[in-house]
Amino acid sequence: MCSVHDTVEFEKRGIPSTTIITEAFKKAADFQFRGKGMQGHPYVQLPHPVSNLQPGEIRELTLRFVDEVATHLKG
Amino acid sequence: MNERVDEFEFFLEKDWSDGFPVVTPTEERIARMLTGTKRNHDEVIGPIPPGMEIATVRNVAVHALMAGCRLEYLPVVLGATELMLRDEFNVNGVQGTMHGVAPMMIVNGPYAAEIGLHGGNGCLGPGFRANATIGRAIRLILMNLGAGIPGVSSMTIFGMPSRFTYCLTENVEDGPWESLSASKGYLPDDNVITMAMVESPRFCFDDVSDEPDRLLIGIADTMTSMGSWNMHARSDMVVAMGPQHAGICANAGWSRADVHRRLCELAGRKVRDLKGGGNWRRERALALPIDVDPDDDDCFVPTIKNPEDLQLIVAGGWGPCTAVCHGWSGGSRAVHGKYQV
Repeated sequence: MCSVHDTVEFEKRGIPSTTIITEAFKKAADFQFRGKGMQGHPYVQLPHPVSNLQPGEIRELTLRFVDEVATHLKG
Repeated sequence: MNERVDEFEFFLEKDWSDGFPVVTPTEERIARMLTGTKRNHDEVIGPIPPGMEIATVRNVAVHALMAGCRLEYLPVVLGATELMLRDEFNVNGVQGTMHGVAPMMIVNGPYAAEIGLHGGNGCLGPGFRANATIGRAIRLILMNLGAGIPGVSSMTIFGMPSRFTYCLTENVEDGPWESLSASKGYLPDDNVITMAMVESPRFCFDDVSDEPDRLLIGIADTMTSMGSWNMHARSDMVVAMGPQHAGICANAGWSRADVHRRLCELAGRKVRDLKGGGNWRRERALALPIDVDPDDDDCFVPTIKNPEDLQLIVAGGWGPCTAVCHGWSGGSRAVHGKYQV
């Protein structure tokens, strides 16, 4: 869960950041945000799995979630 | 302790153990354990991710005690706790991963022998208190201070038996070469721990080879697998040669460095073989830190992407076997350093 750690470090420096996970990592992400003092910080949850998707499917998934990512980054 | 409370059940009910009973950390026992170190008991070692509870000399001693350590083992547990918090080891990532790797501790130097750490016959199995409890202490620290608990923050699919304990020393007595730590430039009297995030071992049994060339082909084959992350990412690996296998090489005039170099050359598969299954993805191949042409079926993809990622040791008892421990995909580099006795 390095992505949660990175998000927390960016946010501490005042740089808006979000974490993108697959739903299989939800418990771990919730725990890590809580443990690092940022309980409830929004993150983006993709369906699981993604590592076996073809480039076209990845593109489609990206388009589905890009607005949510942008919203989180705008704070 | 209240008489109505069963002290063994107490810790198990609270999820403060690895599933086995722990030694009850009474104040008296903790005080005795702390005599095993000259360090200040309040000294901070660091936060254990992702739970971020702070490891101190005192609470590391508590976990060493709970794990069943003798007080003489405490310096090793403290040294390993400190070492595994180095950024490049990426404990944070391993605590959450779906994979099941565990931090293997290879302890070199005279203190390892003094406290009875075992590197010979059966060294990765049960029966040796120092091996069993030092590694267990590290696991309890990862679970209790780091919250690396399956279903809570750890998403490991299977875990691994080596997540109970993963600690050994080298078999320097029967091995033909200098120790791993000496190969890294430490002095023979230095007390050194090397830690690598690796899977439980798979074996290369070879009771046929009597010269290095053939022997190392078999070991190199054990270092490759379509489903191993070593084939698809920069990933660490530990190869523990039994003294018999190491002796075959040494008797033919091969040094540790010669064997290390040859294994790096031999271990790998061609793109043609890799792309038929397992974790192969063209994008992954292009992201490797070495030149791999995913469109060339004859392109050789080495298991070891950087020679520093292969820890070659001599361990185990007599017999025709080498243990190979594959690594993790998420970016963890082996760490090593001296510890205070």
